Amino acid sequence: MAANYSDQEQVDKIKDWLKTNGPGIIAGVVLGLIAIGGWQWWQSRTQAHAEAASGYYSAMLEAVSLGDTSQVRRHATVLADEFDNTYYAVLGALLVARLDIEAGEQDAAISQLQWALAQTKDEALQSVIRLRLARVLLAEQQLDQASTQLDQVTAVQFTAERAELQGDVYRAREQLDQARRAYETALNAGGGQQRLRWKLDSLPETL
Amino acid sequence: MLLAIRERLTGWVAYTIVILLSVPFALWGINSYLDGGGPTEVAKVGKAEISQNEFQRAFRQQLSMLQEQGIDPSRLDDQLLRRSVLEQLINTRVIEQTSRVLGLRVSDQQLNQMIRSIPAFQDNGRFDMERYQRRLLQEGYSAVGFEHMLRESLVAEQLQQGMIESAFLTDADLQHYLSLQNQQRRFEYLVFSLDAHRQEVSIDESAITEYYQANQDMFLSPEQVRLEYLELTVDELAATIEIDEDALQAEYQRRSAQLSVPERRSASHILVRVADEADDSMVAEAQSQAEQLYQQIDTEGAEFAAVLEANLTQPHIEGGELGTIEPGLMDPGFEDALFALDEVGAITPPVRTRFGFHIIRLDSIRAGQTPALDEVREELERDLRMTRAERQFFDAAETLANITFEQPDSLFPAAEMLDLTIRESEWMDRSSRSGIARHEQVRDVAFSPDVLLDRLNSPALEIEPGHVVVVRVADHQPADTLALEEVREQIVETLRDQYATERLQLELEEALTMAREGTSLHTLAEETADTTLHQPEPVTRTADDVDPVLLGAVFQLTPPQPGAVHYAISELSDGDQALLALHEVVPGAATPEDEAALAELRDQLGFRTGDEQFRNFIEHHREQLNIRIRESRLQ
Repeated sequence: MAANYSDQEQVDKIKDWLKTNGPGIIAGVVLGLIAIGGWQWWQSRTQAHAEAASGYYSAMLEAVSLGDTSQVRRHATVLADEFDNTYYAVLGALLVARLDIEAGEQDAAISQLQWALAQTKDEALQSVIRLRLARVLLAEQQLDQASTQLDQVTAVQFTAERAELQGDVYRAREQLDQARRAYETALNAGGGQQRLRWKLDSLPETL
Repeated sequence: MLLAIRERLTGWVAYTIVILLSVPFALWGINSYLDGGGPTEVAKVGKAEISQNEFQRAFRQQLSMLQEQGIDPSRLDDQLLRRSVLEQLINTRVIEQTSRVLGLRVSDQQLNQMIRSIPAFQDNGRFDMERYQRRLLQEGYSAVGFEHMLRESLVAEQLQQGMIESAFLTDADLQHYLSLQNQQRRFEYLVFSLDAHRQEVSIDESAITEYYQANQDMFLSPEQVRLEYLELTVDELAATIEIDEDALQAEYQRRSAQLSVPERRSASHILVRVADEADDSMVAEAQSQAEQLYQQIDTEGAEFAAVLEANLTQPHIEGGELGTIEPGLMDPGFEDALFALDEVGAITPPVRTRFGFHIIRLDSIRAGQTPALDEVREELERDLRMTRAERQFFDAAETLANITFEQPDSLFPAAEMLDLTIRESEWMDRSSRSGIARHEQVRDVAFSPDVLLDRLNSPALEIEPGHVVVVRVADHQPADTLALEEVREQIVETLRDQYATERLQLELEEALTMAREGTSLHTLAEETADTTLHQPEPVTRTADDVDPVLLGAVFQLTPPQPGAVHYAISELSDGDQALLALHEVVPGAATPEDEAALAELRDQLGFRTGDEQFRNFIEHHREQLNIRIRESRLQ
């Protein structure tokens, strides 16, 4: 700041500056307020949306504990149709998949699980869904697809269950050595000890 | 330069700058007031904290839960217990945060519903605001804090329940599991007796000496002490106390009210009910009906029972025998009227109680009784003696503790002062359980450095209520090696086992080779002495008529190809060994007969799968959060 100004000069300078920049500042402030307001509106709207979904979901869990399957399915349909951008819809689809399995409709369960998988971005939840999907595919003898799903289970925490299912797939393909190795991996990763020992000790001899 | 700045900073420009500068200063200040003196969290999980309050509360809950299960928490490692409580809290936080990341929420309405359904906040089955606030206060929660906590746990529950409940096993999984569980194996085995070899081996003297030299630490006699001790018990003190007649009389007077049995009466009644919300005219109506019934009995001479019987059909009339009534148990109005009657069979005019109007008949009287002094003499004497003995005991115990502490090299002064005998124990070691050594405190103190090495008196030990001892070591025998002669038999037995097992092993390996080369177990049994061949029916995993060690070995063998046999050597529980031959593995029946059992198995395995998936899911999320634990605040 080299030049010396008197007070009057300073006031004039500021006034000039305001004259050129004033409208811009006001516009900026107004835009900012709109942005904040909009954000808050958006927040409260998502929140209300999520809370509504939560209500259906709670009612659904209640119906699960009462064993009222048709009510469970009704709630799940609402969640999937109107709240498909929430995880409540995903959890709902998972619950319906279990009902499908118990009703012997494995195809229906597969499509529920595939839908849930497509809606899910959380890595750990994706892994859980893939494990379940692989389990049904295995039961349906779609071994390659089951194997593909298992290969995509990335979270290390699921190593034991993943390896056990891989073992089951190899066993179904009669690749006994690979099955043995997979079960051993599962055992080492802390999987269900007794069941894995049974599976391992019952694999027939390879020639 | 400062001067130049000062000159320019005048007028409104200066004010503007000062005001602008003061804003951040003001705001920075407020922060530290609001915080209330530094962070107090025990751990931080991502953005959430676990406060010291919360940790302490959870820790206390864990302690009382353990106590309810009959586990004494002081026996557990305190540090470990605290860590496990903290781990649970951290996991809860992780579940909560994961739920939030997934966008799970509960509405105010759901929260409200939840609070209203908690029985602890209800009065007569209805939510009670005052009770709610009082309970929160008792438990040390603020309403905001509690509602926040509840909201978090509701959301966490939604996630947990949804993931666990949705897990499943397929029919194929179940069939596979059942075929493994119910699998049967057909096998035969040849038992080689250890005993036969034990008879045959010979043990020479040098082997015994050698074993003795090499295993000196196995042949130690334990360290022993002999104690002398002073013992003070309430019971012994009580035996020395004399109670004189005056004191006994005074005690008898003092307790006579408590000793006597009050008069008891039994009664029947007729009740004309008056509802709680009845108005005056309804009360009057009931009263007049009661009066009328009373007249029937009293003046018209009708039987009480007959009148009752005749009116029982009316819904608001009831009655009958009430049985024995002790004073103080019934409605006071009822009791006063009953006890005012003076002869059996008499009836009262209608008496108003909160139930309505009663007509009461006195059925029988059992007179009250006060026992004579002689009847209760022994009891009173015993009580008096105990009371006095207890008082004396505390003084004596304190004297004992003081003198044995002040003169730590002998028990004699204290014995003299309190007129006690110095007693002596048997030789005892750390594992003794008889005499005075049966008390753990005594064993611990006897081998403590002060008492054992410095030969000081022990502190006064209250080994049970009303029983104090002070011990000192009279004699001490350090740990020592036992002489060869004392342990000779033991060594011979050990060596015999060892040699016999070695010989047995050689024999079995030979047999195994022969079997694998094609000799049948049957032939082997005939050619080898002291063997027995067993050919049981196919067995399941749970067979209880086969040696469990052998059964384990059978089910661990790899199933052979059809027509082939797999051989292995297995120990038996009693030390014998067996050569086993597995012929066939038969998959189990895949469906149990019972539908219900199948459903239960499906649920049980499904739940286990879901539970494990959920735990791994949370573990994955936990690893992505920054968790900081402040160990020092765990105490």
